[in-house]
Amino acid sequence: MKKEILIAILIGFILGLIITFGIWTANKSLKNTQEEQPSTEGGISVSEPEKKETLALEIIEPKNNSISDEEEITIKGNADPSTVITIIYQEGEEIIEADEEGNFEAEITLVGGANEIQISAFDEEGNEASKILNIIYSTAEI
Amino acid sequence: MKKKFIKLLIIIFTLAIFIPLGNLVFAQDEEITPTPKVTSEDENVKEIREAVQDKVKDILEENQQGEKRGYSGPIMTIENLNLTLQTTEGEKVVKVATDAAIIGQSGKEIELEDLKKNLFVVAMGYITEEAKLEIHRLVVQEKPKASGKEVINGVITDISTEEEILTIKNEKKGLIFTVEIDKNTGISRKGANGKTVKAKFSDLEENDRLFVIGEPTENEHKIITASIILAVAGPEEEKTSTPSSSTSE
Repeated sequence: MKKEILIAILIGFILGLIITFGIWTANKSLKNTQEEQPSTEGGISVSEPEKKETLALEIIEPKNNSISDEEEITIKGNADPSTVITIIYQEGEEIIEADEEGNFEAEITLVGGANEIQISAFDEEGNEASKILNIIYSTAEI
Repeated sequence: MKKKFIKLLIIIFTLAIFIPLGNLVFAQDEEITPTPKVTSEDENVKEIREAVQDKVKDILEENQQGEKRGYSGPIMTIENLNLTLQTTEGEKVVKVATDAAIIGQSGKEIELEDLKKNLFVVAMGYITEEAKLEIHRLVVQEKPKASGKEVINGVITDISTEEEILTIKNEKKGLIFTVEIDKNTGISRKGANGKTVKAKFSDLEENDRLFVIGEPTENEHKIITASIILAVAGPEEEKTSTPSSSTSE
């Protein structure tokens, strides 16, 4: 009787080991598959950090759709440090550089009525950001 | 028969010991994987960000109230005192004040009834409590001509000194441009010393990064007649430069 009990325990032990090993192997392979795919689930990405693709560009002055009663205005803005800023307007164009803090300013001349000013920022990697500024030049009383 | 039953019971009992062990292995592995807690944190951050953006937008709109503003564009619809303008930012609905001055293309005052669809107008007025523009002066004018100029950037791959033509390549966009220089083209160059100075065509070097504003024309490659150029010294010049290096003016 004792011998039979020992054999039964041994069979149970071996079967248990096989099942546990099977579960462990399945679990491990499932985990590896998840790691191979860059997962965004849970907000964690396992892929390499991406290079910066977008640039910051903010126009501080003048406000978009504002009305100026002066022909010459100063455009002030902020972008990423040391980026190249281009400004295209009806009467001309400017290429300037933002300073180490990203600040830039340029004086431009307006035409009477509607003025569409295209402002763009470029970095060394060739990334760019653009904004359109609409300004109306009118000396009339409103 | 009884013995077989006992054997079976012992096997099942032994197996039952291993099932919690197997679960333990699973549980340990699951602890390593990212938990959904991060997702909810991200959602919370997104919600807070959106709420802050909405609040800032509200404050900005409140502050704009009473400010002088203007829109320009062709008239899309006219409904009583309300005009819809097609601006560069999309359609904008403005309300014409009853005492508004409406100026025709001739420079003389006209009536609201004289306005027609597709006329290009400059509408000036004040932002109301409803964040709508109330027009006090509306001027009909010719649609302003687009400057036609555009900006390109890339690295100089070839310089034709005789014709004063540059070939530049924008690696990011995979585009090649031909840049024509004429006597009116303003050229500046930022040397390895970090100083930007006025330059001549002969100062430009291969591998300089170029920022060009000019009038485009098309053939096999895009050709730009440059109005203004900023060249930034390429990486090779930066490496070989010494503190005593100078840039030509």
